Formats: sequence, C-alpha cells, structure tokens
Amino acid sequence: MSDLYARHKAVLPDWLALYYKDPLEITHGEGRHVWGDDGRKYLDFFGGILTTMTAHALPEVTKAVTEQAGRILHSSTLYLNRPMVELAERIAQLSGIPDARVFFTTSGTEANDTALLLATTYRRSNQILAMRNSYHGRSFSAVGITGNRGWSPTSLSPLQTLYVHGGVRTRGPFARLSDADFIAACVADLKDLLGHTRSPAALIAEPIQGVGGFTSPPDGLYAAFREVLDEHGILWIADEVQTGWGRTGDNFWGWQAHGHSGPPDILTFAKGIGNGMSIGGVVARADIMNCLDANSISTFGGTQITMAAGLANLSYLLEHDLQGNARRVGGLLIERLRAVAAQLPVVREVRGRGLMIGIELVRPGTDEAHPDAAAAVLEAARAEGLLIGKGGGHNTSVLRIAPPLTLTVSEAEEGAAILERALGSVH
Amino acid sequence: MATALEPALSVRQVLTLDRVLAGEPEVVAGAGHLDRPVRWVHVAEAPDVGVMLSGGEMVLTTGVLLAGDEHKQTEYIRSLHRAEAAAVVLGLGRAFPVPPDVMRRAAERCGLPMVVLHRPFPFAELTEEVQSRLVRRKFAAVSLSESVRTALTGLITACAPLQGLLDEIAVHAGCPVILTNLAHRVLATAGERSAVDDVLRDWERIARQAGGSEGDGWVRAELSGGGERWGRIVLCGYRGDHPIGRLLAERGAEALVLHRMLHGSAHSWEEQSARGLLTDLVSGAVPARQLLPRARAAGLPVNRRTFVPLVVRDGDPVHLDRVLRLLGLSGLVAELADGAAAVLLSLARDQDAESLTAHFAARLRTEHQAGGTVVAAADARAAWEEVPEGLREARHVADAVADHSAALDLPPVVRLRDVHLRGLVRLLRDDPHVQSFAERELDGLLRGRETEQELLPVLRTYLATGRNKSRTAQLHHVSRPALYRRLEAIQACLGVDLDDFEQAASVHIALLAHDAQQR
Ligand SMILES: Cc1ncc(COP(=O)(O)O)c(C=O)c1O
Repeated sequence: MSDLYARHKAVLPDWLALYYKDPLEITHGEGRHVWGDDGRKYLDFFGGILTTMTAHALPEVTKAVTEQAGRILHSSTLYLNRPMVELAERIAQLSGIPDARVFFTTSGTEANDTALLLATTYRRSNQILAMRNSYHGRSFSAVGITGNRGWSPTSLSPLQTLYVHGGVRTRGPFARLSDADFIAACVADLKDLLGHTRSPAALIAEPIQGVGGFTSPPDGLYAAFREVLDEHGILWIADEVQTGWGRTGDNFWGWQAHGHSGPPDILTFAKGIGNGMSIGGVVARADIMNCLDANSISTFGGTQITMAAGLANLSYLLEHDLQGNARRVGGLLIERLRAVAAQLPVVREVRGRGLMIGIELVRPGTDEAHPDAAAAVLEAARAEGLLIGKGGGHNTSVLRIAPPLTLTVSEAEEGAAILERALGSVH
Repeated sequence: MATALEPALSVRQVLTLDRVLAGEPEVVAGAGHLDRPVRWVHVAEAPDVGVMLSGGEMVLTTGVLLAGDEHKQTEYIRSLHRAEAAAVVLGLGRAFPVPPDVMRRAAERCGLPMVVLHRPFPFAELTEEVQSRLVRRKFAAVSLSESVRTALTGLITACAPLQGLLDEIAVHAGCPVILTNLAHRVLATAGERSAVDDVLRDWERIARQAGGSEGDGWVRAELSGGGERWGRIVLCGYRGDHPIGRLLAERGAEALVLHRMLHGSAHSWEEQSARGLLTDLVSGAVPARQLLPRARAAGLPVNRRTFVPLVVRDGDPVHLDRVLRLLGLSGLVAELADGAAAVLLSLARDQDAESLTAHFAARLRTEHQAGGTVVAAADARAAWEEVPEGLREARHVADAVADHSAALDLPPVVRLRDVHLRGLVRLLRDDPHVQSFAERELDGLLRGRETEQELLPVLRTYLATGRNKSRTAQLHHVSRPALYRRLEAIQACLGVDLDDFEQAASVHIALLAHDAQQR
C-alpha cells in the first residue's frame, strides 16, 4: 500500500470510496489528459465526475483565476460582486426560464437543497415526487429524495418522497413497451399516484440520470408529466448537475429533450460550470425564488474566485461551440462503442447522448448486473492509460464515459480502441 | 515556388569541377557545411566585401589586403558569415603561402566553409565555369518547367483522366509517382510497374518515414485548394538534381489541383482507386496476390486479418464509407459496374465477423428508415487469395435477391444459404435450355398485350410470398377481389392452375429464370 493511501485510510471516512485496487493520485493535467503519481499519462474520460467540463488546465480559466486571485478571492454577498452578477446574468439568459433569478451555492447538493426549500415553501407542502434510480446529493434532505440504495445512508427525511416510474427506459415493468406506450404508462402511473396523495410540492428529476448509470426515459416524458403536474400546480425541478452546458450534444440543457410543454420551474446546476472551482446554483422564476420570508445566505456561494473561473469557462464553451463538439465527437464515440459491443455478450446496452455515454454490463446471457466485470474493465482501461467511471442503480453495473467537451476525434478513437480491448478482456 | 526555380550548385559540387580539382583544393574549415547552395561566384579582395554580398555567394580571394593583420582577417571572415556567404576560397601564394590559422579558426567557429587552393589559377576561369553552369541550370529549369506545364495543361484541357496526368509527370520524372490523400492512402500511381510495386510493397513504412528527409530523391508537394490541404504527390526516388525534382513535383501538384477543380473531387479519386482495386479483384483478371500491394497502399490492413466481402444493392459508396468510419471498421468501398456497391471489410482476427456484419447492416437500416437495405454477405475469408471468390459470392447473393427484398421479407444480412432456388437459377441463367424453358412457360404473358404484361409483377409477388393472397394484395395496393381477377387472368393467359403445386413451381422457376436474364 502506498504511503498516501495508508494516510488516506487512516484519516478519511471509510465511506469515501476510491477507484482502483491500487488507487491513483493525479498530480496534474492538460487538455483531455492527466498524469498520475505513477508517472503515467492518462486519457481522461471521466473528468473528475463530469466536472472538468472544457479541459484540464485550460489557459483561459487559469488566467482568469490567477488574475482574480491577485485582486481579491472573496468578499461575501454582503457586498456588490461584479463577476457574480455577470455570471448570473449569463446563466439566467441561457436557462430558458422566464424572469429568472439565480442563486449561487458551492455544490450540487446545496443547489438541490435550495430548490427543495423553495418548492416546499412556495407550495406549502413537504411531499416531493422523485424518480427511481435517481441521485440528488449527499445532504440530509437530498439523500431523502435520492432513489438509489447505494447512496442512501439514511431513510430519515424532512420530506415525504413518492417515487414515480420512467427514469430507466430498458428495465422495469414498462421496458418492453414502445416509446409512446412507455410514456403513456408512466403518465398513467403518475395520475394514479396523484389521486392517492396530498398535493406534492414538486417533481425533481435528472433528465439523464448520472449516478444511476446514464439512464433516461424516452424524449418527451417530462413534457408529458409536466402537463399533468400543471393541472395541480406542482412544480418541475430539473436537476442539470450532470446534464447541463451542452454535454448531451443535442441540447444545451437536458430538459430540452422534454421541452414541448415549456421549461422547468426550477433548474439546478453544478459540476462542470466551474471546471473544478466549486460552483453550484439554482435558477427559478422570480416569484418562486422570492417566496422565502427570512434571510438566507451561502457564505461561499458566488465568491469572486469561483465566479471568475465560471465566466471564463462558460465563455470558452460557448465561443468554441463545445455543445456541437459533444454532439459530433460523442456521436462518433457512441457508434464506435456500439460496434464494439455488438460482439460482446457482456455488454447489455450502450446508451446516452453526446459525451455522456453509459455501457451496461451483465453476466453473458442474463440480465444480471456484473460488478466484477465493471471493476475489471476499469482496471484494464487504466492499465492501458484510460480513466473512466462507473455507476448504476440497484442490480446494474454501468461504465460511465464523460470526457471533457473539447475531446477530439482522434482522442475519441484512441479511447474507443482501449475500451474495445478492455471490454474484450472480461467475460 | 522560388526555391524550386532557384538553380544552384552546392559547395561540394563546385569543388569537384575539373577546373577546380586542378587547383588542388583543400577544405580547411566548415567541412560540415559543404552542401550549401552556391548562387553566384564573386571575386573580392576588399576587406569590407561583406556589404556587397546578398547571400549564397562563393567568395574568391588571394587575401592581399589581409596579410599581416590578424584582426582584419578575423573581421573579414565574420563579415562573410554575417552576409551569409556560401564559402570562401583562398588562393595560396604571395600573400598567404600556407593556410592562415587565424582565418581558419574564425571560419570554423562560424561554420563557414573555407577552402584553400594549393595551385591557384586565374579566378576568372573559375567564375566563368561556375557561372555558365549556373545559367545553364537556370535555363534548363525554366524550359523544363515550361515544357511540363505545357504538356500538363494540354492534357487537362483535353479532359484527360487523372491517370493521364500522372503518367505524364512520371515520364518527366523517370521514377514512380504516387498520389496520396493526407492519410497516406495511395489514390493513384504512375511509372514503371515493377518500380511502383517495389515502392508500394513497403508503403506504410516508407510513407511515414519519407516525411522528413528529402535526401534520397523523395520529393513531395502538397495539393491544396480553397485554403485546405487534401493530398500530396510524391516522386519516389527522383535521380536528378533536387531543385529540378521539386519543380517537377510542384508543377505536377498545380496540374492536379487544377484537374480536381475542373473535373471532380479528391473523394472521387479515392473512390476511383478503390473501384479499380475491387473491380480487378472481382474480375479475377489479375491474381489476388499481385493486388496485395495495391490493397495495402490503399489503406486496407492486410496482415493477419479476416476479410468479409459484402455487396449492397443500390448502396451509395460515399454513405457506406461514412458508416464504416463511424463504426471504426476498416474497409474499402466502391461501386461495381452494375449499380451495386462492394464493401470489403478487413477485421482483426479477434473481431467477430458475423456480429460486426450484422451490426453494420442494422446500422444501415436505421439510417434508411424507408428502404430495407439488404447487405449480401459471403462468409469471412481468412486468406487474401480467397477474397475474389468471396466478393463474387456476395455479388451473386445480392443479384439473386435483387428487386425482391420487399416481397421476401429479407433479414438485414443475406447469405448464400438464404437465396435457395433463386441462387441456383441465376447460376444457370445462361443455359439455352433454361432460357427456352422460361420463354415457353411464360409465353402467354410475355407476348401478350400491355395489360397482360402488367400482370407479371403481380405473379412475381404472388409466387415470392408463397402464394399469400392478402400479402400480395397489400403490396400491390389492390383489393382482394381485384387481386382474384388478376390471378384468374394470369392463369388463363398461361393456361395453368396456380393452386397446383407442381404447375405453380414450374411457373415460379420460369419467372426466376426470366428475371435473372434481365440483370
Ligand atoms: C444529478 C446530481 N445532482 C446532485 C449532485 C450533487 O452534487 P455535489 O456532489 O456537488 O453536491 C450530483 C453529484 O454527483 C449529481 O450527479
């Protein structure tokens, strides 16, 4: 065991999982590559859990952070904060939500907490509709709406959560239906549920589930839900922590695949926007955002140093049409992986869109999860210089691929070739 | 362009001229820089000669104004160096009976070739000799340039094919000439066959290696237009002077760019080369073994591979090629003569040919929601020599199911075992007995009036669907009673009872034989 690994285990919690039998310390990065303490260079297909959104050590971000650090790191929201106002303006405009207000937090969890606080206060209800197989964060309240046993350390919750069908297209009772029938069945289930309960405050959903293994419903499901929710005044919260900023290629926000009944009432974001600087946030219609009747503050939320990074990162993303790049290069990558998977019974499905791609593994000939295979592929890919992630809700094991959005075609090809060998080495 | 027109001798070449050799030249400094080009020869005794030079000159001197002043000597060498002179030649004699050490050391330090003549001769003889050579070369270059340009322009305006242009360039170059895309894929070749084959045999390695050095007569010129580079032309082992080779390559490149602008795209060049190769493979005119270098040079991996021959009816080569690239499959795609596209996949030995073929076919179907694209596949071939037969098998399968895909409800991939009787009939189609059998059986319909001839497609579908009346009615968009009337008419024309299995079978075989004739 390396010295650092031993120290890690001695001082950090046991539930803080590490990847790899021989855990890796990443010492620096550039573009789509990182270097390990083992002296090796790795192609990074996970971006520190979808957080290195544009590129490692992107000069534009480094410059903005350095310049800001030279001026002031932090002043708190008690004072006017130019970078915060600028970033809020840009996000409000991009969000698609009319008369939008933006509140910055320091994590996705805190963003979702805020969304829940807003929705329950606005609606005077503590009931929340959530999706099975979802993940919304680690705090006491976020855990309560997370439909994933592996990430639910407690069932205590200030909220009463009701789980709805539909977040997972290819498993569950409706898997065999056509897209249209699948949506109809989920809508019928939702209507039925609403007939039995007091009126919930909101439905919260990830357009593509992240931790759950990049699972998603057919396009349009949440738009169909929204029509039902509207009849009851129930809010729709889109958790865009993983799906935002163009990662899915086809859309800038994940909710846009479900946009024909209009935008969500509340949107939460985090991860990629700061390229590693801790920025989270909530966007909501003004009447919802302003419904709180007491003070509320996040000391670190919107602090200058992170806002400077966010502005530089977002500008780079938009100016270089990284959403388009995610669509093109991600489209190629998914085709490659599907061709690889066609030959391998261990792969049940290659799914996702843009640069958010899941490969679900099973014991060949069955639908059973195969966590050993997932772990083995992770190791084999690392051995060949490729870092990927894994995930999946109960009874599933999924490899997760989410590189920085500047990924080039040749890097995609290189990664696909490594994955082909890594997948071929397990059974 | 200027570099190509700049004819020059190197210092080394000047030193080997007979006239110079007679002077017993000795290189006393800068021996590592003898390949510098000499643009002109200049006699100068002035110590401040540097200001009169413009670079590339070989400066001749006796050093009369330098003798005895070591500072001046060093300064003289330095000023030549600053002026980028090619070399300095010092005639030994009264001023310097032996090579001056100070000058030698200074020259060595700045890397300026310094030559002493042990038996000096009048410098005028040397200047005249070198100058006239330089001028001759210049004229040769200009006139070569003109004659190549004239020849190529003539070919282009006469709409000569690409091959014609390359052949012309090869004639002037006297060595193999190769046209590649940026990925080093060979698009076309010209020159003596055996020499070309020698180059192609080892193409992968050579192509990448020759990138840097142009030393061994490998001369390359980029093809670009509209701000985009899309290929290069390579003279492989040009034996003449390098600048002339460059000039040829650049003239060739210009002509090819013009040709593409006027007559089509680089993509079509790639397709042409693939088509030539696949057509030769299918026809069997050239033994497969001999085509191996061409296949390799066209970018098809051939070592320890499995080959999967496929034919796609009405497949668009550009589109098929795109799907291959998308899926990361290596292969060649080209349209064969009769509107069918051939695809030759090359897979690594541990890849699963059958599931990849199925995936490719399924992928094609998802792109063409409307049409049920059918991929005809031969079994995978482990040996290159078996590829031609495999391609013919795939083409046979494709032909056998042509036009019937809808009625036959074919899977995305069809193989020999799926074509049954159709395959056999196709193989026998040239037999006169079969032909007259078909004529006889179908006489009533074939020689009938127009209305009767319109019954033929109905009969075809009816038999292909296994005499399924509702399916036939559906496929022809007619009501069942209308279909019954047509079937009655058919039976009347042919004088057969289609409910009788043997009679129906006979008509079916005849119809298949008749259709096999049409293609
Ligand atoms: C969809 C989603 N929401 C919320 C979170 C929580 O974000 P954080 O870890 O920044 O608190 C995550 C983190 O993985 C997530 O994937």
